Amino acid sequence: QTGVALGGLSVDPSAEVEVTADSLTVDRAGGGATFAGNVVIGQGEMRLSAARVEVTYDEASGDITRLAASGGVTLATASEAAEAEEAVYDLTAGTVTMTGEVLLTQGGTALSSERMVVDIASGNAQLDGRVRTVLNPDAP
Amino acid sequence: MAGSISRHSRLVGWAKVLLPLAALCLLSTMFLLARAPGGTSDIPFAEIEEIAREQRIAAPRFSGVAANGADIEVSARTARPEGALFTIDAPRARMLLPGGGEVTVTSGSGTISADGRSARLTDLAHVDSTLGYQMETAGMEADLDTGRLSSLGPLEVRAPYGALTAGALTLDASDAGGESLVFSGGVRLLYRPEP
Repeated sequence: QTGVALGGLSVDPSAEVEVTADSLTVDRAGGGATFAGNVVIGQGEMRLSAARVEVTYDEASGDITRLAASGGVTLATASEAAEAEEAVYDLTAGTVTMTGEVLLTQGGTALSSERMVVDIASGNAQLDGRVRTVLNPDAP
Repeated sequence: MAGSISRHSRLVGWAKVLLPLAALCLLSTMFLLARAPGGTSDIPFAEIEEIAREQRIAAPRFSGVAANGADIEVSARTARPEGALFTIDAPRARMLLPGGGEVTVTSGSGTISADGRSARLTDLAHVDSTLGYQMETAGMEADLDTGRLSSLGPLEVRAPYGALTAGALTLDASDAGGESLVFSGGVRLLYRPEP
């Protein structure tokens, strides 16, 4: 368990969320809505881009509760970037959980782990699962 | 006995006078109180000439089952034949999906092919889907054979979770039989979380 502060990340959870993509498929059987193709979720200065994002929303209130991104995900903030195979943005809890070969780059250093949970309001990130620090020899 | 006979004859005497008078009054109401016969101006000659001059079907309705199992019904206020097409006024298309779910499309005007294979609803089409999506676009094309609806331009969409814009829409029955909406050509969702 390693705690890291992502200085560049402090997102107001009630700020507007914009999702852009090539397409959106809505299917009664699945009931869900899936964005596909260059999907970018933007909120404040956080950008979460992925190949596919599935929207889970509360039918009654119309609130989006979860955005599940998959197919290679990149979380970019003002000064940090994190890559992983999948990520789940839980809007009710205000956290982004990235899983699968997570690589967090911060300035010159990089941290890799199996899993990372980021609290988007405070910018605190918890990494667990074989956390390794990768020093970048050619960093300035 | 004599009293009762004279009362009886007096009764008959009065009846002989009153009854014909009553009949006369009833008869007269037939002529005095009757409504004046309608003048010829009430008959809408202009409209009749217009109807006679052009072929027009009032409240046409076309329905059929498409290849994807959807039950499609296209109705309109009027339909006028124009070459291989019928121009339809205030058309309404309703599609019942085999797996449940319903889609209705209404628009200002449109055309339907004479062979009934395709219909085009134009002049601002409103699309309603029981999945909770309401859409507005320039027009919708309905392929009544395959049961596939496709938009003729970009759309403004009100989704259950926010406002969307999309370049195009294809609406069909998914393999499970329910509705399947595919927005393509660039999609943008704007979602305002409640604090």
